[in-house]
Order: sequence, then structure tokens, then C-alpha cells
Amino acid sequence: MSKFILTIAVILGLSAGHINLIRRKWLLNVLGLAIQYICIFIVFPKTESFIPALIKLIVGLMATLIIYLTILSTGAIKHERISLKLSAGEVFRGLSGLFLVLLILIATPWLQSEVFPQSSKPALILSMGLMLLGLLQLGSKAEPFYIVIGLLTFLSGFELLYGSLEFSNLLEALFAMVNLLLAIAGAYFIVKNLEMEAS
Amino acid sequence: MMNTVIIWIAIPIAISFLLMLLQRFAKASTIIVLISSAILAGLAFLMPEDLIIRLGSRQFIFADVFPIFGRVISITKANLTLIGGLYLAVFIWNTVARRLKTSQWFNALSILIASMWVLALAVQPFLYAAVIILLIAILSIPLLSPRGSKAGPGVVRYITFQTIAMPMVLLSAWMLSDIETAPSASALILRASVLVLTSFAIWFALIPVHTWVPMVAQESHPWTVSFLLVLMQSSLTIFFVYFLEEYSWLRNLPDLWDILRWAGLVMIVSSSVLLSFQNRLRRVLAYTYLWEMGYALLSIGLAQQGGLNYLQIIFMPRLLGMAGFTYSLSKLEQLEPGFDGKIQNLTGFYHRYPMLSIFLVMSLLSLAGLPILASFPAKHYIMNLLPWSGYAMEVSLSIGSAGLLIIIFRIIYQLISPIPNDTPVISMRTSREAAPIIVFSSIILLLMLIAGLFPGIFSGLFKGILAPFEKIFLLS
Repeated sequence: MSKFILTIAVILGLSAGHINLIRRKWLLNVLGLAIQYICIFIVFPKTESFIPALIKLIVGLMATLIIYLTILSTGAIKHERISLKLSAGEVFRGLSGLFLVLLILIATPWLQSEVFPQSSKPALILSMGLMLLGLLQLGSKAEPFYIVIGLLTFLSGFELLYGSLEFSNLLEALFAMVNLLLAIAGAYFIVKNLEMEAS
Repeated sequence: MMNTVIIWIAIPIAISFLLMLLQRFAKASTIIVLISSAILAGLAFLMPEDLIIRLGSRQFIFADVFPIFGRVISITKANLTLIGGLYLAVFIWNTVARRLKTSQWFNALSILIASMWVLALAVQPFLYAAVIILLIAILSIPLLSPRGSKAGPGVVRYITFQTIAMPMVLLSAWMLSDIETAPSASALILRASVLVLTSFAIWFALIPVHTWVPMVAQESHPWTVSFLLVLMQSSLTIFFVYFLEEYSWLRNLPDLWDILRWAGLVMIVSSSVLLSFQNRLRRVLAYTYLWEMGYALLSIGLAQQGGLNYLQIIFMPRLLGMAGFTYSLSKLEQLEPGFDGKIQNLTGFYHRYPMLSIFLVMSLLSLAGLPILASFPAKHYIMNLLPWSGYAMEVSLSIGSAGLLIIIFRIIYQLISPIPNDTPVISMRTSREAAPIIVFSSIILLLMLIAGLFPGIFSGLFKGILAPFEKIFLLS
């Protein structure tokens, strides 16, 4: 894959993760999640086979679809209003995320030479970036829906990192189950909380 | 040829799927889960060493390895004692789960979660268990946060911690391949050790990453929480011993055993101090779990002196103590809808619910390790192993016991206090305890006394828990 496409995928993937961290708009977050998985598919190492990357994409998009269909069926999307104005919290999260991404960019050469020599630079930047953005999301939000998005972001970053180190069919199957179950858990939380609000 | 993996993993998973379909039929699903868990537990305990069951002239040979996706899942005779114990817990908790108004998924998910713990202990390479442990956490969500209740922060934090722990173990696994080829690579050893120990600290809910335990205990049904915690504690401690058994670089880390001993003592002391300040019974459950986790860690730290035997002696007492405490707590909450779980509001409960009150106190005393009760032999054993050369450990263990005793005496004081005059007449009736409550409480109390007076019975049953470990006993 050409370096240009990989660079674009890394930038797009990190931007999607960043938007998920900043904005609390369900539709936007679901879209961001889908973009993340597409970018991971592009960056995922394909030295041995094309299949593992494809599995990640399919599982990721299925997880996204589960969440999307849930918010669609519950009618939660109707309440969405897209506003360009940022709140103080959003600015804070945005700057924190930006700081983390910069940190990763600075630390990547050392990480690659000392810890993960097998990983390519784009894979390392995108994976570490997504993991840290996911962790920041886990730390800065309390609502189960956003926590699930944060967990999926963190896991997708880790899967990319681990995929660049070694590959195991069994582990891939387990990761796929974790991702799908997390998405179902997210859908469960959405439905549960909407039921509670309605009652 | 039959396969142990199919029997103790695939069949329970299939049963759990069947039970999901039958979740609305409480009686049918309870009967199915009780019969199947009893058979699975009984078969695990009774399976011969050579994995061949002989019935007359017929022989049933069991294979112990199941290949899947290029890896293997293996359940040997050495693993079966723990597996039997896990399914025994499924049996005990399901006997009254529906009566205690737990989630309607309890029957199905309890056996599924037990089978996943078995899978975690059986998968090779065993580091992949980290992902299975995360799967277990996700599967617990419908139990901990059933529909009709708002998703609390405790459950979410629990999942978050489990997710963070998983990558660290897998990354250490990847680093291990380098360690094996370069044994003197101290930097790699240090990194892998830090990753492994940090992930275990999160799994063990060591202070300060323990916060999800009291939160989950406060938000969720006590019967469900105790089931998940008992399975988790029993499996994770053994899983940690697997690590120490398999990786010489880990067990030969300088000062590792001292660190484990002191981590255990710190857990015992801090959870004991925190226990003494608790005002809610549900949080007492959480800190009792953490207190017990401290003892488990202390026993692993004392492996060189034979401390691991504690894990086999404590298995049944822990099950009984947790079951007893959470049963009486759940039942009191069920019978007294106005009871908010605060200890000061237990006033006069002994006069209305004598059996449940006695059961509550006895279970806590048993967990605390008081003489003639179930946990006493195990606690006595571990105390005898401590090097009583300085004052630090004596003081630590004294504080460690004091906190739990303080909370128990506070509970006793409230229970036997006279009923306030302004209490409505309807709740002053002497007893609304039905026969099933008395029967269940009496059986568990009797078992606690048997375990305390004749510790050999249950420790003999569970001595096979340590069967897979040989190298760890050869420490210099």
C-alpha cells in the first residue's frame, strides 16, 4: 500500500477517534467508529494474508451496525442536533486528545526501535493513538454508551498493535467475540437507559 | 471417544443457550441448570486418574485435548478438582437464585460464565485466557445490571478495568518469545513482569484499583455479585499460580515473594480498616471479598513455606461464607422492602427474623475465620506460616482481623437492639421466615460447622486444585 494512502488513513483514523472523544452526538460517534475501522483495515499489516485485516473490518463494521440499528430503532437519533459550537468540556477533551496524539508522534521512533521493531510506523501511530484516545474517553465520560465507544476504540487500537506483532486464529476469533459482545452491551445500555428515562 | 473439553465446556455452553430460550420458565430452567451442574461437578470429582470410566465390561475413554484454530484446549485430571468446584458453585447459587429475584438470565448465564472460566483455565497458550476473562466480564453485564434498572457506574468501571488488563497480559506473552531466546535480557524481563503483575493487580482488584468492587456490590443484586466474585477469586488465584508455575523468569524475580506477601498484608489491613467504617451491608460484601483476596495473595506469597495449601483449604469455606452472607442479606432486603441496606437500620431484625439474623452473623464470623467455623482451619494455617520474627506482620494481621470483627459486632448490636416503638405493627410480627429459608440456612450452617470441625473432609475434596503445579513447590 502506498505511503500516501497509509498516511491519509492514519490521519483520518486519529481524527475519527478525536471526534468521538470530543463530540457527544450519537450519529456522529457511530460514523466516527466506522471510519476508524476502515482506517484500521487500510493500515493493518497484510504480509501473511489479506483475511485478518478483512475480518477486523467486517467485525468492526458489524459492531458499529449493531449500535447504529439500536439507536435507529429506539428513535434516539431524532433528538440529535448538530451544532458547531464547542463547550468548555469539548475544548478540554479536544486539546487533551491533541496533546496525546502529539506525544505519540514524538515517542513513535523510540517505541519502534526499542519495543515494537516488527510494527510499521503508521500501524504504531494509529494503534497507540487510538488506544490513548480510547483511554482518555474512558476517563472523561461516564455514560455507558460513550464508555462502550471508548472501549471499542481502545480495543481496535490494541488489535492493530497486536496484529502487527503476531497472528493467531483463535485470538482473532476471541477478539471478534469481544467486539461484538461489547457492541451488544452498548446497545443494551442504550435501550435500558431510554426505558428508564421513559418510565 | 469422548472429550473432557466437550463435557465441561461445550455441553455447558449448549445448555446455557437452551436456558436462554427457557429463561421465562423459571422452574424448568432452574431444574435443568441444577441437574446439569450437579452432574458436571460430580463427574469432575469422580473422574478416575486415567480418564477412563468403566461400567461393567464397557469402557468410556475420555480424551483431554481438543484442537481448535491451530491451538489446543486441554482439560486433564489435574484441572478437574477446580472445575468441579466451579460447577458446585453454580449448583449452590442456582438453588435459590430465582427465589431471590435475581435476573431471569441467571440460570443461563451462571453456567455459561462457569464454562468460560473453565475455558480460561484450559486454553493453550494460557495467556489467551486474558481475552476470555474480558468476555466473562461482558457476559456478566445482564446479571449485574438487569433491565429495569439504570446502568450504574460500577458495572461500567468493572468492564473498563478488565479491558485495560487484557492487553497487558497479551503484550507480555509476545515479549516472552524474546525472553525465551535471550534469558539474560533483563530489560525485557522487567517489562514483561511489570505488565503481568499490573494486569493481575487489576484483576485481583488490589487497592487502589479496587474501586469497582464496592460500586458493583452496591448497585447489583448481592446474590449475583457474590456468585461472580467467588468464581473470579477462585479462578484468578489459581490462574496466577499457573503463571508462576510456567514462567521461571517471573517466579525468580528478586523479592517477588516478599512483594506478594506484603501486597497481601496491605490488602488485608486496608480492606479491614475500610470495612470497619462501612454503613451498608452490600459494601461489607465488597470489602470482605477484598479482605479475602488479601489472604489469597498472602498465601501465594508464602508458597515456599507451603502457603498454596490455603487455596485448597479455603475453597469450600469461601463458598459457604459468601453464600450464607449474601443469601441472608438478599432475603432480608426481599422481606423488608423498606430496608435500605444500612447497618443502623437493622435494628430489631433479630426479633423478627431470628434465623436470617443468626445466619448473617455466623456467615460473617465464618468468613472472619473464628474457631469451629468453616474458614478457621485455613486462616489458622496461614497464620502459622508467617515468619513471626518482627512486629510488623503481627500488627498487620491484628488490624486485619479487628476491622472485620468491629463491623460484625456493630451488626450484632443493631440486630439484637430492641425494636423502636414507632415501628409499624405489621413489621413487628415475630417471624415471616418460610420453611425454605430455614432449610437452606440450616444446611449451609451445618456445612460451615462440619468444615470447621472436620477440615479434612472438604480440603481433601479440593486437594487436587494444586495437582497441576510441581515446579512452584521446587523453589529454593
